[in-house]
Amino acid sequence: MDKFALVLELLILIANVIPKISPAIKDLMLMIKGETVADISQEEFEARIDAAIAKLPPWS
Amino acid sequence: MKRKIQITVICLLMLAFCLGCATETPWRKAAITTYELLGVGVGSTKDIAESLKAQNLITDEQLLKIKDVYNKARAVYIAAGNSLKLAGKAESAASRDQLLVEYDQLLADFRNLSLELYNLINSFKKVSYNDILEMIKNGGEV
Repeated sequence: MDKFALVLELLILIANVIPKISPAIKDLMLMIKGETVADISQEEFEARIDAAIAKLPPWS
Repeated sequence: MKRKIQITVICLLMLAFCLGCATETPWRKAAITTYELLGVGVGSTKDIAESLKAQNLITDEQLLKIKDVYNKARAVYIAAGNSLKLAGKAESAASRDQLLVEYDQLLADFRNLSLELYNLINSFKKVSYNDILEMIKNGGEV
């Protein structure tokens, strides 16, 4: 098994262990296969930025 | 268990790096993944520092220093998020690239402040980076 295949196996294993990052690994696999990956909408993009910021509450 | 956390963190960083570097990655997806991953660590430092204070492992003055760096990091993170939103709305590729350069600079500043935050906690409490990771996992408990 070459190193590239080993890395792919590792990514699949991580995706199974950490469900939260599964979509990102799925996209990466699609790109490796040469398939087109659709981008997210601006609305979802902004909502995720706001959600990430909300996880850092102000500390007064 | 510590090794598991280390491997997980390394894998997350590798994934963020892969997505960030892949030229055919839809840029919004790549950018937001990196942005979200970088925010996670800093978010937990507030709980950790408050937990250390509750256990009298750090002084009020040390807590204030940590709080100050945390709030600076938060402000930079919000500014980076705003740049990212504007980049998403940009009408031309040139203006988007310009905004993404600004975003990259802010993200670099945020990374530096994150490191400063971890180093502060580490120096005050005399804990190792592994201990901090363990505390993140346990929700702030030593």
